[in-house]
Amino acid sequence: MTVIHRNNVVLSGRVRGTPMMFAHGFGCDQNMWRYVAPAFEDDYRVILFDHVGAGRSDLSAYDRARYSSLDGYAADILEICRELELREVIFVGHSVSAMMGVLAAAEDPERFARLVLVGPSPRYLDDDDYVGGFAREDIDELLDSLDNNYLGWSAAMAPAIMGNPTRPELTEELTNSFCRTDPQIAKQFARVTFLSDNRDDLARVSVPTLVLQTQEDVIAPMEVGAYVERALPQGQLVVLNATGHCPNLSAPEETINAINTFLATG
Amino acid sequence: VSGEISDDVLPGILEENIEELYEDAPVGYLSTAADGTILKANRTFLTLCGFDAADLVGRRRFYDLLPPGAKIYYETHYAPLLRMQQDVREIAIEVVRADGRRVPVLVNARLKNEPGVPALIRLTVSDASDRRRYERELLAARVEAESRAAAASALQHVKEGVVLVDDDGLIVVLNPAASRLFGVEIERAVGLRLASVVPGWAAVAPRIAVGRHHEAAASVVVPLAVEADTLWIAASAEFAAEGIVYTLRDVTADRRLEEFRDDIVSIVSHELRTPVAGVYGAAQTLAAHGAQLDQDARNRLTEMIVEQSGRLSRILEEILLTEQLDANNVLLEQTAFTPAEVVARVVGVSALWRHTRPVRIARLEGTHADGDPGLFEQALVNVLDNAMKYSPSGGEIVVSVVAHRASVRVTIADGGPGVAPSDAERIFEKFFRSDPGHATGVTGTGLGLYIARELMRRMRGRVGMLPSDRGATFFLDLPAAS
Repeated sequence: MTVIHRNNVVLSGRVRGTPMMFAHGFGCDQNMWRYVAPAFEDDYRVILFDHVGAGRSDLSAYDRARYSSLDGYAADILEICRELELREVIFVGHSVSAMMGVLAAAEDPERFARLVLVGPSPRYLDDDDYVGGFAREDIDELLDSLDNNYLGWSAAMAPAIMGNPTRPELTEELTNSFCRTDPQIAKQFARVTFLSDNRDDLARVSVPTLVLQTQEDVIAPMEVGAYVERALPQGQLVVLNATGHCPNLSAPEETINAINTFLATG
Repeated sequence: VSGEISDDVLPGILEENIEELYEDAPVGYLSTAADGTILKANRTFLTLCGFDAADLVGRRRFYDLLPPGAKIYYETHYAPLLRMQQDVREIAIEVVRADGRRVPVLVNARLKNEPGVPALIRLTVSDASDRRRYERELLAARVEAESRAAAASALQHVKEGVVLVDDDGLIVVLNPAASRLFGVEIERAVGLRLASVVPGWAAVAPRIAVGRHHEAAASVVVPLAVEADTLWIAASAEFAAEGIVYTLRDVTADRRLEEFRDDIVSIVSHELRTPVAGVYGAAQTLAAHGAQLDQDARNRLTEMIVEQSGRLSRILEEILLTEQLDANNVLLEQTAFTPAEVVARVVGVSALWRHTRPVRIARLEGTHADGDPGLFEQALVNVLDNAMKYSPSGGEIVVSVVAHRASVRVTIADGGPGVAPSDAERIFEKFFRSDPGHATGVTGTGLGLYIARELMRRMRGRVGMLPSDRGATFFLDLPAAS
């Protein structure tokens, strides 16, 4: 069960329910779904996990080569699905994980029934007439921010962050613990995330896909959401009233409703 | 009394105007709506960011004040944390001032989320310019330390020997390759002079030109005496901030290859030329004047062709066998046999060799030995051949086979000029010749004794020389059969 340990996979909900897998984005961990995932536990088999390098994943499993592109993360998602023998998966991915879901579904379409992409962006950098929202210097600035905020991180905390589910108090003591990880891994993940270009992969998705777009999302602006919907063969854009990049945290009700509506149709 | 302030004055001082306490607190205060829209800001914050309250309140969100990269950080770390934990502490971020300058700040925030009331976020924002400068220095120091560590690690794995010598001539750094090259331990060498660690250094150092910084002088190839040996070293040097860096490469193998090539050329020019000329001359004479020559003359020429082509064939076989030995390509069939039988047969046959010296067998002990009889015979023939070559005409060669400790020993004593003690080991080296200039007229490839040594070694035996009053005495040892 190394995949389960590696990605700190947590199962809940109906044992024989349709599998619904939630993937967190760059920055924090599976706690990002704490206000959304419980709403699906009555009807679905809920699968939460941490990307390798985040949350309580096994930091020792971090391999720079494997995770030098989103494909490595997409491969992890497929490995979890295979390990748990999941079929007809409803995959809900936030931010960069939306693209990981796209890659996984393109790779193994049989596994997935539907995708829900929350704040997806296939390309964060501006590129000719494509508007991603960022320039290369902005990403360097982000890397600086990461550097500045990880000064207090020490390797001694790693065991506490990766944690032992039987001693949650260990992690509670840490400042900002949901978003802490090894600074080198965080920087590498930031580079991989914000320098990726997966525009061509959108057309490879053959399942119905919901694109959840918020107002004033600086990371995935409205134009990007519209681009994603157009590029997906079966894309459906829903614009929420919520603002910011994390409607799953700032507007969980609205997010849940939008997902339920999508799942109820067709 | 509290310190210098008497109790009756204290309440008056502490009873501050709450408004003033808020506005002029030593930290910037901000209150925002859940979406970050600024609802209230204190004077300290306004001074910090250079905006008027009217520019901010109700018009801007906190994150509008952040540069683009920090906005990503805000959205991926700060905002989610605030929602998940209700408060965040010590977020290091930059704020863009009204005049466009950036101020590093530290932000603490708390989400006040009570039922029935819109959520409110309270933030403290403090100027962290000095702290950030210090942290940047720490980061730079860490990067520097990491790159130094990486450089030191790389030096461990460089194939070339690298030595850093300070201005006083003392060794500061000596990498493992240099340590292996010189045959000295790193710990023993550091802090000492190179010349006192490496015997031959003083002799070669003046020949190594030292280039200017980042501009190594051309490398020179010099013979360097180290503990047990003389190596050929390609050396270059360059001035560095800390002293002089020497880069040393062991080119002994290349040098040996060059010498090998020279030796081959020498064999071809000296050893092959004579027999080839002999064969060619005799054959040509026979072809052109065979009919006019008498039977005796024809026989002499034919014999010459047979003899010289036999010599050619032996030389080529020696070269071939040497190549096989060097490539470790010689098949060994180890068995128990009687060296005395081989010796008797070879000596018997040797009586048929041309220009032979008389060979006397002094003693033959029939002890069994372990080895390959064929290869042993080859080694024996080579040593015997060498003895004959160096014996004066008519000089007797004495051969014995005796049990000697756990070995069977064959000795071959000749009455030749003997071998200088300094050459006793070297005569078994490849292409060694006691007269490199071919002055004595003794011919040979310089491979015979080398082949003997290599063959004996493979049979776990040994060939060598015994101290001798007159002439040279060789021995061939094989382990006695168990």
